[in-house]
Amino acid sequence: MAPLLGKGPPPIRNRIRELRFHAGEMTQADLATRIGMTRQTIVAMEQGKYSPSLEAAFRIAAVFGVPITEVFQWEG
Amino acid sequence: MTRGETRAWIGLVATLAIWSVYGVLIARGLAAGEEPGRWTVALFVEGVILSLAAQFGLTAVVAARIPVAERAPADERDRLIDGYAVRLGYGLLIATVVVVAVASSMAIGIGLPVGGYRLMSSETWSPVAIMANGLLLAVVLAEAVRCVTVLVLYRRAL
Repeated sequence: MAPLLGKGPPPIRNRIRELRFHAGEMTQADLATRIGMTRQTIVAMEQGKYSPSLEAAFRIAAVFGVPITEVFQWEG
Repeated sequence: MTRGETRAWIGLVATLAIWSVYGVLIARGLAAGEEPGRWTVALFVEGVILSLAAQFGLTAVVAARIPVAERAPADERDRLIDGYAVRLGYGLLIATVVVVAVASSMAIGIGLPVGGYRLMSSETWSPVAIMANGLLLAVVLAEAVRCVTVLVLYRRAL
């Protein structure tokens, strides 16, 4: 969970945009629908401004068929 | 703009617009030396009805204009933002209610003039009427802060 009013972006990098591209240029809206989130949340994640819950992170990894560590990397 | 942002904008504008008008009318009444009574109660009830109508009505109208693809239910980020804003607004509400209650009690106890009108005087507003309006102001401030917090957190993308 991202710090709500913390300073700076959360120290977690993700490859969602890249994985979407390799998944037949899946749109943000498609990904959002498949994991039960809003498109705006996908946008925030791709911009590195929001870190999803563990459950959502697993769902995203499952959509792309990769381990969760392929999607999210800790940079702290 | 997300549904949460839209609702926050509607809530902020409706709250500030309606209760500002209420405040101006009450202040005019005070200045004119009018005693609180039916007109103040009617004004309050009208404010509540208008506020509810504006929030529910405008939200429904705006929701109908959102494209189908954008009509996703609230997700964890929306709930996180909403939860934080509600906690902040509630904290402010509790603090302002305490301030209003203590200030009013002290002013009543020692007969301090409040807003230019001496409390506990038959010629002025009753302490209950002044305290009730102070509490209403606390609610309006809390709601405004809640809406602004939602808007700020969405802008920060959280």
